[in-house]
Amino acid sequence: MMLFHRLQSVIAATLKIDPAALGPQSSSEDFPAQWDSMGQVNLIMALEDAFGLFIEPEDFGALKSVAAIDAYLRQAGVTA
Amino acid sequence: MALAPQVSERLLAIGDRQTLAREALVQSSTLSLADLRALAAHAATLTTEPTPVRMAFVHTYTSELLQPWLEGAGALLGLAPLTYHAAYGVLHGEAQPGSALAEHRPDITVLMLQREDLHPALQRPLAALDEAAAGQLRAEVLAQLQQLVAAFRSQPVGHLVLTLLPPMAGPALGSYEPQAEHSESRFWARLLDDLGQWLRQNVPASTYLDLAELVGDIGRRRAFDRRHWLTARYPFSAEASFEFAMRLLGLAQLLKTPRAKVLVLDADNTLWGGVVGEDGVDGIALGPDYPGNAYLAFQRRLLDFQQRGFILAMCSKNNVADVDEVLATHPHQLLKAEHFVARRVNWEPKPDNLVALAQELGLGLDSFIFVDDSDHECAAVRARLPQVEVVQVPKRPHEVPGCLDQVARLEVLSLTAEDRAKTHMYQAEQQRRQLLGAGQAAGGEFQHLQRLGMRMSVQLDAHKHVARLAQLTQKTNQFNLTTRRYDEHQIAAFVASAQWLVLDFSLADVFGDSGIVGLAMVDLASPQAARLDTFLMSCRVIGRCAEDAFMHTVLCAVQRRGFGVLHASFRPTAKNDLVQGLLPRLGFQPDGRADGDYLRDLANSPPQLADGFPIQIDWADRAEPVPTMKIPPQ
Repeated sequence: MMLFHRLQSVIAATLKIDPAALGPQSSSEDFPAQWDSMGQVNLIMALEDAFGLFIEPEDFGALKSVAAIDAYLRQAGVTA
Repeated sequence: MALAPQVSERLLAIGDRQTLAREALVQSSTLSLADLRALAAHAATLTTEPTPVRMAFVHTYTSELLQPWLEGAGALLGLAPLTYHAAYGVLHGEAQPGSALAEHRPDITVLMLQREDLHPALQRPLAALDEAAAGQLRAEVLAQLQQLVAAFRSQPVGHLVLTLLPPMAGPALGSYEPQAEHSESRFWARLLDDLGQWLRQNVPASTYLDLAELVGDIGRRRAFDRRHWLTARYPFSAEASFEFAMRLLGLAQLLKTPRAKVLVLDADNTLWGGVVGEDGVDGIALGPDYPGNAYLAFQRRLLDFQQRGFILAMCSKNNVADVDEVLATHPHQLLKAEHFVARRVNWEPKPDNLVALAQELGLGLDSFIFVDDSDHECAAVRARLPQVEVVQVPKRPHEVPGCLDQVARLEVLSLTAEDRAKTHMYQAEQQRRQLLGAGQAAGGEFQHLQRLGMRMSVQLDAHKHVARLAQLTQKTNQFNLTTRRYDEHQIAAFVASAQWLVLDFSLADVFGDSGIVGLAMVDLASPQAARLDTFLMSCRVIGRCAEDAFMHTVLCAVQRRGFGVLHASFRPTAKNDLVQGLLPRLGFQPDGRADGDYLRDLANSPPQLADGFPIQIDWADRAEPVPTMKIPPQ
């Protein structure tokens, strides 16, 4: 759950979404006004900042839900 | 990257918004968007009411991703940006009357262009072109830019900011580029030089914001992120996004909030290291070696700000003799007595000294930037004079030379002859006051003013003065009847219009020339009566009967155009008490319609020279040349 909370706070702060509205099942489709293609670029930058990653452009498009990002981070070795 | 937790904590504990904005810039290399959001939220708690600024973006690469950075930068600078982003790639369509951009009524319109958009040939290497072909292409590219800029300038789009995205790749010819006979670097250097000169001479209210300088400042490899460029047409890294946004909002701040005019400098541990009263003139750190070279570099930088038109004053708790000795005799002291328009070297509280300096210079405290190393003095000035921007000089000497480089208000939108000569003008004013002070006892006011040998030069519809005249409407608060603010674009329109008279004057005397210090604008649209829209004068020439002489020329000019009546009004503000009684004193009668509305009946009481003023007027009114008038005192 620690990872989810960190993720929740990064997504909320970057996209200006209420953290309480972000659950483990949330995706970009739930926030069309904030999590649009522009928001996605900002989110990629923020995820790199927060988790010390370098994300390949090929992966940009897949990271559009909390679950997908969670899985990506775990695969990249981020655990908490 | 993101701010280290201890840095973030330190920034969030800063209690002064302007300091927070400067410190955020110092940390820009690791500032993430989330960090900026947190700093912006903190800045909002330190701002009573952010100043709205309407911005429009015309772009051929993604500008929308700059938006969150613009909002954050705005919060740090006390501004609330209201932005409009044109559709991607739409240029000329937005430079039309009634376009969505025009409807947005922007204060600033930013053109974010790529070089390659300007000409198809720019997609290919330029080094292959010979001199003639490169010259031809340069002319075509310049013409294309000029056409675009002119199209926007002809619409009410506010201040126009032109940017060109610098190349993401290094020089085409690598290390050999500077020596090559033909190169892209030379092509662009020459083109941008031509463009800059053309903008200055022909396009009022315009700025070429040099992104190459920004990229050089942070480094090309750090400024761009090719992943976002190639996937989303957005070139900038987080760091470059923040720097770009801060520069744009910094320009907005110059347009929308009171201008800075004066740098008030402490002496000990600011102009030099150490305390002259204790260490002695020979013991202070100032010279070729560390840490003295840091202070020398800072003094050198201060001269740059003076060249931009900011004046320097000193406020130091010291014995006068010690400071005088450093200024006069220290072999490495760069700033001499003549570089300061005023000095307060005493043991009085610094806020009191600043108030006295403001009075002496005839400037508002909101035009002051106070620079001091002491926690105590900085806190005292912030507490007593919140309108003064306070910059605390860093304790570490190597940070001193650049400590004013993050002050957005030390940028300028134009540089007039008056700006460059400002220090000299203030010094002449001090000599003038001494002479007049000595004359007070000897004779009447008129007689001692005569000693100045004043000559007023009046110009009508002077296109060359547009930048200065706009600056005067923006900056003049006290001697200003109506306090109507106009930008260069609007002034240029008045100058060009046959329905407006735009008169300005400069005043010379035995001590020097004031530069352009007064403006009157008369609306002639109604054939029944002319209307005095603007009548203002810089504080520098108050108390010398210049208003009498200038109003006389205005009345003569209006009368000669066949008008029998000139309407005028006094619009009170918090700062223009000085001119409350001006119109009646200059022969205007209340017009009985509203408080503050006056008229001058030119038919029955034509402008008279009987009262006289100790000023010789030279003017060239092309409508009807009038011989030089010399009004002998009674």
